[in-house]
Amino acid sequence: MSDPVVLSASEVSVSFRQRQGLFRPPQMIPAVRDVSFEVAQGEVFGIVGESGSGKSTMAKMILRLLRPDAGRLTLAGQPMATIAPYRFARLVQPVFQDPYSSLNPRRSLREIIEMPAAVAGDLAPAERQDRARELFTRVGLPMRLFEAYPNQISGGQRQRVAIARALMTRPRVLICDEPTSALDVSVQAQILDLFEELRAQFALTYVFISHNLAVVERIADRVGVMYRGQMVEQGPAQQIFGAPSHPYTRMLLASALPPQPGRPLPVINRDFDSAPAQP
Amino acid sequence: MTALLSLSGLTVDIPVAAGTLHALRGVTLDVREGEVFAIVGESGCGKSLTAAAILGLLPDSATLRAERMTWDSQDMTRMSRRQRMAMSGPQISAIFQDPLTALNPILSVGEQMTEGFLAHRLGSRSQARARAAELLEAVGVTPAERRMAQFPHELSGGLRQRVMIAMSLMCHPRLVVADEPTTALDVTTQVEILRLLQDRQKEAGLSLVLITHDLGVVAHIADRVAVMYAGEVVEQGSVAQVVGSPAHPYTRALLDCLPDLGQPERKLTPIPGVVPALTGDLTGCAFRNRCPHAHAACAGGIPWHRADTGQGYRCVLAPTSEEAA
Ligand SMILES: Nc1ncnc2c1ncn2[C@@H]1O[C@H](COP(=O)(O)OP(=O)(O)OP(=O)(O)O)[C@@H](O)[C@H]1O
Ligand SMILES: Nc1ncnc2c1ncn2[C@@H]1O[C@H](COP(=O)(O)OP(=O)(O)OP(=O)(O)O)[C@@H](O)[C@H]1O
Ligand code: SF4
Ligand SMILES: [Mg+2]
Ligand SMILES: [Mg+2]
Repeated sequence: MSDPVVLSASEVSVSFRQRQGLFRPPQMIPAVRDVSFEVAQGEVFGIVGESGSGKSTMAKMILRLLRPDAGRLTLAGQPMATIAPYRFARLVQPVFQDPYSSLNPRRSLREIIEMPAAVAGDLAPAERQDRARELFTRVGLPMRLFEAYPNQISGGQRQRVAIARALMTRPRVLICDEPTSALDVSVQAQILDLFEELRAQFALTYVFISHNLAVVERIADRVGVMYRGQMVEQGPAQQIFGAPSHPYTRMLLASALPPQPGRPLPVINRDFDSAPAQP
Repeated sequence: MTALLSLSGLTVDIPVAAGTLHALRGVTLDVREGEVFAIVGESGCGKSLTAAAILGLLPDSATLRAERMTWDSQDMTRMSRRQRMAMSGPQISAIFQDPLTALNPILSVGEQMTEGFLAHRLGSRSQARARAAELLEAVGVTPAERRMAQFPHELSGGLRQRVMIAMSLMCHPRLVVADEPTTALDVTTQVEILRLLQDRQKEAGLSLVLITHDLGVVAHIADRVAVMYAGEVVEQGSVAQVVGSPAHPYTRALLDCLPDLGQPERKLTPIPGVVPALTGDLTGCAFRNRCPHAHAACAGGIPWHRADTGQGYRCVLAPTSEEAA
């Protein structure tokens, strides 16, 4: 890779403790197992995979919302755990799926957007507000909504607010977990355009998690495929979508339903998996 | 073909802080015996309220009016609450997006599956359990006997949705209304669930109203489809017609902003602007603030064009005009 690595995961694992009822001892459920990948500066790394395969858990570890049980995570060459909070806020920021619940309903849009800069602590209040204004316009929101509250705007507008908030500290990496999944397709197209523009303008790196394969194919340079806690395949987007090698990836791609009439439902063959788990 | 369910001019108003919300504005559609009828559209266009009207589950504050609303030629608007309750299960049943909220958390799978069957006096307890086990096996919730002892929270999302499907079939309904049954699932599980629905629908010869915002799902499973926008049906016809050669500018716009697998370079065209508020006086075409073909006539009365093929759409553009082609 020619560009420097900005984010790396090396054999990262984490388990959750799951209670089994009152009298049985809790069981450890592995959610992410030995996952390794590198993301270069300016790259979009897409993560796809089945529900419950550990994608969001991986995102939480990158955001330090969850500590891995084993393995190493580094950000800008530094072990993740050793980065001071204010510096961390300037390196990485999240954009989550649900623009309804991820914004504090009691704060104005201006306050919401300024918040990460307060955590990073590097701007005077006046500068903070200037930057918030600039980003507000940049993500396509009309200034008349600057002092409005989350319940006064649409879902697409809320996701724009979440993106503006994430850009407030001028981070190098955005961790996007299903950022367009709660949006209508017409709004999704607008937000995807916005991601592309911002990437060029701010030299951003994205980790982009989505169930929507066509969206990931469109935005990602490289893609990792997760299945049952493991990253079973990773490579350039063209290779993953054009010539997938893992049977799970092939099954996943075969499951996409393009909006073209006259085709039967695809046949799903889970035979490659010798031990189908059904909780 | 006979219509099992026939809606004409279905209007639903809901009082809200800002006045009256005209949530459904003259919805007209027929669901035929044995077909999969899809209702598609973006968030807030009225899909779930249409389902609620069919199921008799509208909020108490809502007012319903209809030129015609018939079930098997009987007037549904004249039915008592009791009559509607009696229909729910043996005639019409429902599958919702989130089975965890629709299922009762304190009843085992077996208990909730047999509840309706027993309430409608369709057989004995052991007959109810036998039917539940048979349906669970058919939808892949195995081993059925063990699953019937489990509680909803002990099952994964995909399994819960399978339980909902099995449960919806318990009383041999003639129509199942499924509101976003696969939206919360991953794409592979989605295909498996759709296939189950399709198999059961074909075997039992039942009709299915499938509500979704996903035109890919519609293309693969529906026979006919209604496209809704701002509380109205704006286009209706066979899936080959509506998805394959859409006539309404909104349907075309929806297809143009969908990313296609295998065509990452194709330019997406977002639909500018937002859906209008459904309060106050609404006249003309509700899509005209976003439509690339909008002109003065779009503020007036909008005709419903119907082709010989059965495809119909609501727009001032004539079927033969350049723009509509
Ligand atoms: N806080 C938690 N406690 C216990 N188990 C958890 C917790 N969070 C996640 N899990 C489990 O860890 C596994 C991975 O979950 P995760 O949310 O990362 O999946 P995902 O790939 O993001 O799925 P989806 O596509 O549905 O969002 C699942 O089995 C999930 O049930
Ligand atoms: N109980 C209610 N009280 C007030 N307004 C309601 C109520 N239920 C629905 N609405 C409004 O009616 C309109 C149609 O809602 P509906 O739930 O039918 O949309 P939908 O097409 O199912 O959308 P989605 O795709 O988001 O599920 C929306 O504007 C909604 O806010
Ligand atoms: S009536 Fe006018 S505004 Fe409405 S869809 Fe047709 S051309 Fe567009
Ligand atoms: Mg997730
Ligand atoms: Mg709905």
